[in-house]
Amino acid sequence: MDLRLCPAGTQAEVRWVDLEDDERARLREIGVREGAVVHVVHCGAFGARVIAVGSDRIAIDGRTCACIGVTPLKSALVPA
Amino acid sequence: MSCHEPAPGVAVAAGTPTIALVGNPNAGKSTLFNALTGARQTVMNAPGTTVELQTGAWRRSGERIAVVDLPGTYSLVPRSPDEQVAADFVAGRGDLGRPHLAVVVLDASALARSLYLLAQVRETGTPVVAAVTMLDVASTRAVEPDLDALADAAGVPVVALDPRSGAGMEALGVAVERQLEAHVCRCEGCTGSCACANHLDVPVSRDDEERFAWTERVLNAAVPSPPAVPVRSTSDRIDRVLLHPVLGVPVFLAIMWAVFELTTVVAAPLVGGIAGFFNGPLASWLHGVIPGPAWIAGLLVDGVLSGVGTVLSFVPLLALIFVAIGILEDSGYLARAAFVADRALRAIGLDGRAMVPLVIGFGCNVPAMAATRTMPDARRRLLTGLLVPLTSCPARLTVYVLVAGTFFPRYAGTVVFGLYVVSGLLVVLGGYLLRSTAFRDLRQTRALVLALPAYHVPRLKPLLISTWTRVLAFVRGAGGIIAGTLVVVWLLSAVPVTGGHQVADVPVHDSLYGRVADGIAPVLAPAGLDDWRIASALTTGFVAKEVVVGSLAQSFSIDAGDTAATAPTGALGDKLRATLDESSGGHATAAALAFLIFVLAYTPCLATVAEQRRVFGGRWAAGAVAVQLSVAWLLAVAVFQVGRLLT
Repeated sequence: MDLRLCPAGTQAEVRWVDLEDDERARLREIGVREGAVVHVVHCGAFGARVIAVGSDRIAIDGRTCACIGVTPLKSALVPA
Repeated sequence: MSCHEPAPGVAVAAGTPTIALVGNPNAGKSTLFNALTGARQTVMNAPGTTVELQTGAWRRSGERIAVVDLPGTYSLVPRSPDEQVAADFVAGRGDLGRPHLAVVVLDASALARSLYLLAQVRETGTPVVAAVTMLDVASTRAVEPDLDALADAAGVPVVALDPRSGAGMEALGVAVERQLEAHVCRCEGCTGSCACANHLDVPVSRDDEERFAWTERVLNAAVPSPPAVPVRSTSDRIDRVLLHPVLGVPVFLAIMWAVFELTTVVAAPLVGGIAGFFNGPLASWLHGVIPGPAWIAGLLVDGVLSGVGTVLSFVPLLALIFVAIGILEDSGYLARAAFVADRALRAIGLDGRAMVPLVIGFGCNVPAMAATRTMPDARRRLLTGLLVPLTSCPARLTVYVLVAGTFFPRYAGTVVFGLYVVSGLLVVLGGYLLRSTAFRDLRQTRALVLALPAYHVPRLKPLLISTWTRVLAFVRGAGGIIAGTLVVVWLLSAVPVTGGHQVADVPVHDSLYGRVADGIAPVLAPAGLDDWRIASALTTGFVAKEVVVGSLAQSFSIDAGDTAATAPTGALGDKLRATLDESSGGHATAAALAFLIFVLAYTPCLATVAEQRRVFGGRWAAGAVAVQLSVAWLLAVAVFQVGRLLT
């Protein structure tokens, strides 16, 4: 499945990123690369997502989320 | 690195050690820059680019250290002109020169991506000090990096820093001094063969996988036991509302509305007050006390003083907008605004950040031009800057009200609303056309990938320093052009070309300015506007749209201060109708629409052009003026020719 389909609270492993080379490279640089575990923190309009990569928060538009393949692991987010 | 290469491109005095602040966007780099340099700052464009750099002086132990605040970047593999400037400067490529030292700002709440950038900076061979910020934010997310382990693993000096409170600044100063001591050559007449060259680091080249491995190794050393699952922070809870798919949009619109109100309701009285003071009591008093012939007082008061007054009248407006943008930026909301508005602006090749300058543009084009700086990509910044003049500012409203009220008294409100709709359509159409021509590189819709900073309460002092620096840059950069052009306009209108008049005491049509209007009028004939009074008003409108109605009144010999006469139903409206009736061959309504469209589409005002030139350079500003005039003429002609067939 792609990231756009993940509800808030989902923990998922990134499996593939199907984007142009430079956009793919930018995602890799900020931590969204194959094998990385990300957590969906918020769902925005039109499929956009805010994900947690470690303690970082990254906002990604819906079109790009559709190009990121993930495998859901579990749903959890610890309250502060 | 060579210690013998100063940084000529950033105008640093020879022999002054130069440090560059490098970091991800929102890592706290600019806050650190403000804390280091105070008010000793200059805003400039990187040579040959429209990328803004801030340079300043940091005084340490009586010595001056030049500090360059580079654009925020995630990587030294550049993907925008701004990132290119940052990458070139750190690596010593291009015209910018090279820093003696890079202070890499590491965001503790996003340590992995910060370390990736650190890895790249180390590879350039430029000496490094790492400053770790946002430790408080990281702590709320249960991340407590061990900075000693980080320094050991990364092989660079590391200091903890909170630029907002000033904590850690002394430690940073000591670390920077030590590194400069080790790496900056102090020998006189150095040729590059001295012993200090032995201290220089050798650039190395690593591939991405090696860099990721290094990053992970250092991260594991610094944060050996990170939380398995992210902790929900206060920022996350706020974002549940501000980034909500439904609630996020009205909140965004409400904030944009507040900024718009700031440019109109709040700033307008201040702008009017300053302009009124310069053109009213001060001008009257100076007219009375300046000795000599009347033309000297006219030149000094109606030319020079009027120009200075115009420039200064923009100061409160710009200051308010810079403070507002600073608050949005500092608080962390600007990145969220880009996320929320992104979808709406994708159609014209811009990302969500363009919404802020475009909204401000409907309040005033001048601060909107300056507000483009919030966009991280120079090309998109330029594209937005070219679209801003198409947003209809309130100064044009005075013309709309007069003409719509005169020619469409029953539908005046609808006509004015229609003009705002046309303004929006012109922005969309302009964006589409520009992306199809000069901005083909922006045709591809790029991914929006934004690191969201934690929310902060903005700090007043850095906000005021930054506002002061930017307002000063406007006064210095755009002020001379505005004041100089107003003097030229005064001279043209003061010089008589027919007998029986004295200098500075001449009716408009008998002045050089009248002759210029006579020369322009035939160009407007295809739009049904072939009349010197219309041409004169439009020419004056190039300086400021607020004076178009006054210029028409003056040309028709009507007292501009007589509100009854200048109302749509007054003498001015009657004379305007008669004039357009004559100039259009009996199609006054079509000519009035053409006039309105021309006013909407052509150059908004001299101050906007001056600001456009300051931000984007003279070539783009001149090109923009030429295109705006051409587009306005073509639209006016089209509207008149079609309207003539229908009326």
